[in-house]
Amino acid sequence: MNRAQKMAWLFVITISVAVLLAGGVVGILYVKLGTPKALAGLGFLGIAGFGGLGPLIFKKDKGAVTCDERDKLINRRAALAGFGAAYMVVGLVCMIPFFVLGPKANISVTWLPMIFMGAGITHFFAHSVAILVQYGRRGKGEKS
Amino acid sequence: MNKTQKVALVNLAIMPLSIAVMMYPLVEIFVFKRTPERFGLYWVVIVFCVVMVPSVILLRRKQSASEVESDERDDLIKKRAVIASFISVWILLAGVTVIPRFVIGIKGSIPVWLLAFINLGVLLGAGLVYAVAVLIQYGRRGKGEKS
Repeated sequence: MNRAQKMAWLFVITISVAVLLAGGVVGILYVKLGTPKALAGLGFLGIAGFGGLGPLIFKKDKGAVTCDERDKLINRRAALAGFGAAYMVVGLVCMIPFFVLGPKANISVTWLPMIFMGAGITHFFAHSVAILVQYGRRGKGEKS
Repeated sequence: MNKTQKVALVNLAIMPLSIAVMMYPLVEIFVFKRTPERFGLYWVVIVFCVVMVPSVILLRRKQSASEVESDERDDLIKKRAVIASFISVWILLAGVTVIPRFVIGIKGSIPVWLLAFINLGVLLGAGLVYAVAVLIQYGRRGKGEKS
């Protein structure tokens, strides 16, 4: 497992834990306390930020070749997948309220930064998953 | 002028028009404090059609039969322009999602149809940045080339 894969795993684990924990806490608090206080559970999304510590935790190998053309290609494709997934989320979040709530409905501006945050988390998650999928598929059966 | 440049020029001409049309409801709501006319909301669809038709025609039309689709240099230019466009999407998205909170206030609200315009506006902005990035790169590299 190379450095990119380790960092991708860190992102996948931290983001998954953050989203599951935040979703669970928001759900529990919503049942017990109601809407405004339940949103405090979103604070658990901060756990996803630990994924950004990957470059510090997994340091580059000294003297070794850190990445080749294949690694760059994988990273480029993963970045594209991450961007596509993130913008799909933006598109859905922007269009679904229009059809569900109706064109005359209003939403609080406090939800707008959530769109950006959701897109960012989706980007990192999809980017990491795409890296792992590409390395995983190509690693099978390689002898050299 | 090759195909990439022609498409970029068309986009550069029409994207600002699209953005201006999309700004109409925003100006109506936030500057004039009134609800925009319903017809104005459909302008963006018309503008999108206007963007697509010349783009498709230009894409299919070649300077000569021997004209290649794209070479290594064109691919590199397009790749860099895509990166610039991606970065601009994030900056624009951050801007349109964070700034209204400070402008309207934390207790303010916006109509949901504005979200659709935010989505399309960011896409148009990214397209504009892509077109500008393509033209700047061709423009700078074209100067002084003899061969």
